[in-house]
Amino acid sequence: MSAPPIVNVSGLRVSFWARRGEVKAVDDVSLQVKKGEIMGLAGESGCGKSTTGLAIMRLIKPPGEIKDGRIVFDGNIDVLSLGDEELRSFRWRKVSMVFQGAMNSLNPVMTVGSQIAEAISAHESAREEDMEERVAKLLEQVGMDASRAKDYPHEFSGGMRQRAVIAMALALNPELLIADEPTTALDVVVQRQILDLMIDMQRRLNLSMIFITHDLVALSEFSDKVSIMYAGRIAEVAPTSDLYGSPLHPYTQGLLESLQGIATPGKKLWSIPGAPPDLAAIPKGCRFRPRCRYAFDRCAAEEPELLPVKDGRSVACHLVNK
Amino acid sequence: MITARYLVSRTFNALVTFVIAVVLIFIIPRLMPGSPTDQFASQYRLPGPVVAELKAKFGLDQPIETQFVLYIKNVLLTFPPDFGVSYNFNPATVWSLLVYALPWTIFLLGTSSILTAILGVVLGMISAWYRGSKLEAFISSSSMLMLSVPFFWVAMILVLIFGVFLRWLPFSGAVSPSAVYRGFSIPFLLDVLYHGILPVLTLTIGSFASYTLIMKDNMVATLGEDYILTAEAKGVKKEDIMVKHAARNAVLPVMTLFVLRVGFMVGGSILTETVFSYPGIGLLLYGAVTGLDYPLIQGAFFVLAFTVILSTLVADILYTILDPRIRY
Amino acid sequence: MMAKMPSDTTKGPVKPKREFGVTAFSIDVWNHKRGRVGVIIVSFFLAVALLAPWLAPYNPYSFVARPYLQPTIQHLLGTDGIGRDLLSQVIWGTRISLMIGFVVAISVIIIGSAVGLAAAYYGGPMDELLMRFTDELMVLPSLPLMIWMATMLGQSMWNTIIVLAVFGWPSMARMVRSETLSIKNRPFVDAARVSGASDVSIMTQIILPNVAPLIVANGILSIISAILGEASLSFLGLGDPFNMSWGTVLYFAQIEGAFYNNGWAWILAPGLSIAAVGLAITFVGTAITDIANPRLRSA
Repeated sequence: MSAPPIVNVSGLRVSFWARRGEVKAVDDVSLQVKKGEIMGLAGESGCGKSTTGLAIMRLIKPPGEIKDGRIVFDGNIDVLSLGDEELRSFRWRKVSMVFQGAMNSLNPVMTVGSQIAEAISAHESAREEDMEERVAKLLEQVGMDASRAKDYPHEFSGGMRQRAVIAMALALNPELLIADEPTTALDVVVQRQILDLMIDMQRRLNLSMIFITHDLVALSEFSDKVSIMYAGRIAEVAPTSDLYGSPLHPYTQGLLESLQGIATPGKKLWSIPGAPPDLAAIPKGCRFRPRCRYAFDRCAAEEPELLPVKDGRSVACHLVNK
Repeated sequence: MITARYLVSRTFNALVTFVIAVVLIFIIPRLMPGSPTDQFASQYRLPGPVVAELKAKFGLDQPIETQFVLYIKNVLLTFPPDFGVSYNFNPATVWSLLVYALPWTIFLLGTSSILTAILGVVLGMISAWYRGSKLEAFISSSSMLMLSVPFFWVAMILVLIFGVFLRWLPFSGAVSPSAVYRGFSIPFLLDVLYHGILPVLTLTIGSFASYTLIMKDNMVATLGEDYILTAEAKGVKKEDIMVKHAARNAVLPVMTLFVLRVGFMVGGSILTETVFSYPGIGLLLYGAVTGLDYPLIQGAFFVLAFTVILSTLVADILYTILDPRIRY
Repeated sequence: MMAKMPSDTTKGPVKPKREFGVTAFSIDVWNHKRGRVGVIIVSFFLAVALLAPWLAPYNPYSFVARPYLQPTIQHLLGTDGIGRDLLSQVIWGTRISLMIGFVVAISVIIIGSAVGLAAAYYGGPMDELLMRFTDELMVLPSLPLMIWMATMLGQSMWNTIIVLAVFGWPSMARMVRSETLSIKNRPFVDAARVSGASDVSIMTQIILPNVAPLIVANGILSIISAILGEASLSFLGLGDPFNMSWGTVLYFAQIEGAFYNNGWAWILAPGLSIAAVGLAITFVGTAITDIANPRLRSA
């Protein structure tokens, strides 16, 4: 029996209460991330991947609510039942996050250095000189000049801000890093740099990571395993090469197919017809059925379960799990 | 972040505005029905020699261009600015009256501005953080109520309660009428404070509401920003988030509001001084206008304009210092 | 942090919703908790104002009893320093205060909107000039100037209205200008321009309906500032003593020594009326903004 997964999510349900009803952003999601593993969490906008990431840190705010599920960290910390003070101490030390749109993650009226220092001082007491040194080291680790600690966020370029945010996320040497679309808002060249930086950090610090994105190409490069989410549920989980080489879920197939059009000159651009369901009114049966070319009668009657297929793979599809 | 260039340009701007104001103060009374010259000797029974001196100094029997030149010379180029003798309070000069009244108004406005700002910001912060609670509902309703109430009426109610029924506090004058003080002695200061409580309280109660509501709105908006979520994720304590992150950002637009409301507070002090017979510039101005005391009117507006423009300039510069994103 | 749902930002022009109309809107206001309270209170005061001649027990300007009476059955609020019935004064005062408030608000709306629209639409030097002028007016401490103007013009109801309107329109103009600026560059305005519509018709038929909700909301708030402004001016003795408003009643309270004669009802009644009307109008204004702007409504 090997070491427990760094995080084990089971049966997670997160809903948002809107005027039109209950929006089920995350509807029974289970996933595990092994220690030292990079798990990619991919899907279209609105599929619930960001929400899942936030839920792991219990950062779901009203009108959202974690309705159900268990999140166990490192085999012994039950995240959802932590008290306020325990939760505060758990955050950033064990798990930290790089948020979507990191540009806005920084307080515009505080220097970058002081914000990184704040992450540390919220958990430990340290002398000012020591603090300065630690902040300097963190900045250098992400390829920034330590002297920039006294500058304000608006004085940095997008890429630099992203690096600063990553430095901040690593301030307390967390075991798990959740990165939510860390490269989306950046231009292509900088994207490459940040990606390389993250790969480098992960290797050096043996970080476990959950990399949330809709960019399947980036994931193919450096994740160990990929989970594909659709409309609040997990459609398929597989080691990266398996997923990209032989996708089993029709949705995954469709996603990859639409990618090929861009990569192959002359090939027609294609995308999966239709649109994801309204999360406040999910139809009966498989939620991908309206867009699936292989749908048959069972698909309209019951929602497929996420069941293991071969080693390390699981799929939620009636076609596969006959 | 502030540069010398910004400081210089703002100050220059303020000076220009001030000079324009001074010119307007000259022009406007002469546009109104009943010119200064007519009001003269007959109505106010000023002694002959005084009349002659005034006519000479201000050129009141000369063409308007000469009057203007003399005016500028007396007002802007001499110190202390010479507005002549007050019609109603002669032989007291306008300047001496202003000098006596100004400190009282500054005391009133200064104290209540600070209190208002503190009260408004703190209440706004609290009502944003405890949004949805009974406390917040209470604060918001009280603020809304205060915005609908004429605050001279608030003054009257306070007088009724504390001055008439309870007889705890005085409601007239700045110091006890019969007392004689030498300089800034402790008894003097205590008396000033004693007489100042109700006026300052009134002005503060009447002004805090809009600050509270704006601060609350700003806080709520700021609390929705991403960096607040980041701070919480980092494990920063709730109180620190509220003060160091949210309030620090939310308070900035409140400062602009402050700049805009200086004029309002001046008006407020006029009403307050009237209710409490407090001998400040407001009361002086009111008496001057209704008594058609032209020199005093000019002098009072001069001082008012100066105060408003100066405080606007100070607030402007303060804001620039506080917000690191602004660069000039 | 909410999952990113597609938001319903209106990309196209907001056509004047004739189908919704005033009736449906009024029903919405009635159903709004605070709106309903506001409407009831405002209606009450409007009724008092209209029915003043029949409601007031005495002529507010005649001596009918001994001065400084406490509230009695015959004089529910007592009498003032010369022996005039206070209840009648407050009832008739409703008429004056409300009338001035509404007339000033309407003037402020008309002038402010016109200036704001023109400045934003034409831009350039006209905008510069108009905004300079507006800003100067806004920055100057208004009460001292209003006092001066009122003294010069003399004590009459119409002069009060003029003075309040003169100092009230700038903030409306600023507001309308910002809103117009954000609408002016939308595609549907260009479309209208290209199809040959005249400037005036673009401003009135296309831009104006879109700015209308904002104008209405602020117009309602300007009623309150008008009523408060009038009360302040009258309190300082600049109101019309022959057309007593609530503020004038309080002025007489101050100078006739209500404080020294236990005139608590004298002071409370007009002030509470002003507060009640002000609060009620604020409620109606809140109801209207809540209904007209669904984006502000929290889930």
